[in-house]
Amino acid sequence: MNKFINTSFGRVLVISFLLVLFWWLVVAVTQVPSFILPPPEKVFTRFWQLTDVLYPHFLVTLIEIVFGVLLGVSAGLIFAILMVYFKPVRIWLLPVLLFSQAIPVFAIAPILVLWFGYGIVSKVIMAAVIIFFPILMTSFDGLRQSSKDYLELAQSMQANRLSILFRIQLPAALPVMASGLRMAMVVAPIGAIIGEWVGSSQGLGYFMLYANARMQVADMFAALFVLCLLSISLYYLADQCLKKLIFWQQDNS
Amino acid sequence: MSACNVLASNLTKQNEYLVTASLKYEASQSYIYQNIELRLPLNQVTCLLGHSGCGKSSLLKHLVGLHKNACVNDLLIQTGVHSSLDVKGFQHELAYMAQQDLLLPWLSVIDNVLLAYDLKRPILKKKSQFNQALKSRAQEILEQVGLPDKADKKVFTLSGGMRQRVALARTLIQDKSIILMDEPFSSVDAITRDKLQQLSSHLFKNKTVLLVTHDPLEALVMGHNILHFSNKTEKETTLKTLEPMPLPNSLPPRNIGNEVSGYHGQLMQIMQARQ
Repeated sequence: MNKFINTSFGRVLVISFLLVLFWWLVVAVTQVPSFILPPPEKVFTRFWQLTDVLYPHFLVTLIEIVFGVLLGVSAGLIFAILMVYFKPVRIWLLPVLLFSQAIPVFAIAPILVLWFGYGIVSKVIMAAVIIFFPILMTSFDGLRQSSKDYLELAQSMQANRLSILFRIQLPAALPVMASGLRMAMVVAPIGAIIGEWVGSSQGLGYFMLYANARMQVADMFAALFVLCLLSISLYYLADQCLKKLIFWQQDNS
Repeated sequence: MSACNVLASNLTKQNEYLVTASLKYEASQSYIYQNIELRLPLNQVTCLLGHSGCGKSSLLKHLVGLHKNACVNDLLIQTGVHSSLDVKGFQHELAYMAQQDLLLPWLSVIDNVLLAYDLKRPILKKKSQFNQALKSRAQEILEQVGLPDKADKKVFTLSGGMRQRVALARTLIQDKSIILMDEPFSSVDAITRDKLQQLSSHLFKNKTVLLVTHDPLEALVMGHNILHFSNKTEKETTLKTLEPMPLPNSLPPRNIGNEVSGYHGQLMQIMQARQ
């Protein structure tokens, strides 16, 4: 039992159980009506009844998040490389990027839906936009901080720039980039859900809005539960992959 | 890179490189060194001795070609009488070993040793095609530096001394005739350092070596010649010059004993007096 609690999965289960217990207690003690806060058992019953309905919505949101992450990561990485290598790009692009981040993604969501339609594309772009900046900044920092000494060694070996980038700088930047990626995995669902709220006909966000309009609060919570599971699973998946990839960074957690 | 003024008196012997260099980082600042002359006898170890921050590492990096962005980075290299050598050609003939081991943690020991060849591999070509001759050469050199069974180990499993040995193997396998080293053994303990000094001295036969160090003892153990990076005041201007230092007549690697200790004291006194 002790061994199980010491795995991260075990800890997640324990803390979830405690939170559900707290939730149940709150409902039991305060007697709040179930259209404000439904008790956990009701949410889980609805979840069980709705699995067939929720599944296609879940798939849509999953696809939006996955493609959003792929798009955001590639865009962030490419711009980071350009900024590291070309000074004009760095000094001209950085203010623009900062400015673009000053506009809340929530504010441009309706415009994106207007431009890219009610389908998956606008949500993919929302997710990509929201993770672009953390990916860009961590990649940029990782690449820029790659130790000068390594670069000097490579230069003494008469290596060309491309070779240095792919064989030294990118792998060396991975640990820093990894933190950006982990952040992206958690934040990307926000982009997808906002997109779905603003305008869509499918996805978990759409389902929640739909249930909300009908005061089916238990359904909303069921969808929220699925969304939590999805985000957490994606995070753990990314985390495990990154740990395998960056095997030389041993953390002792 | 423009050549700097060379006086007629700067005759080089046939069997040495004569390097003349000037370096200034920013236009507004003063020179790190100006028209400094460094003689590197072929197939010998020349030790460049100096206190921290005197510019000795800058000179070494200058030779490697790492000061491309400096305001003034004149470099002239001559061999024989009046024949000036192409700086690029000189830089292609050298291998550089830095103060840190600079092993890449995601590569195995043997891949680290073969880094110079790996970096020349076309970007889309797979690594597995390293030719067998190179691999067995790497294995051979790993045996020479005393790590015969570590080829496939991950580098983060190695101790500091072992890592420095791998760095040494990486320097040697490049098969360059000139080796430039920047305090390569300063981060390991005294016993390991002595072992590494003896080992590298033996492996550096037939190589022209420039070893930058702040440790007079290291210079005495390894050097055929010792140069002191010092300030010389002439007509109220301070110039950086390289002054030859006394050293035993015996050939390196010298064991640390009475003779070396005596010279050690002498060198310390000279260095303190010049500061």
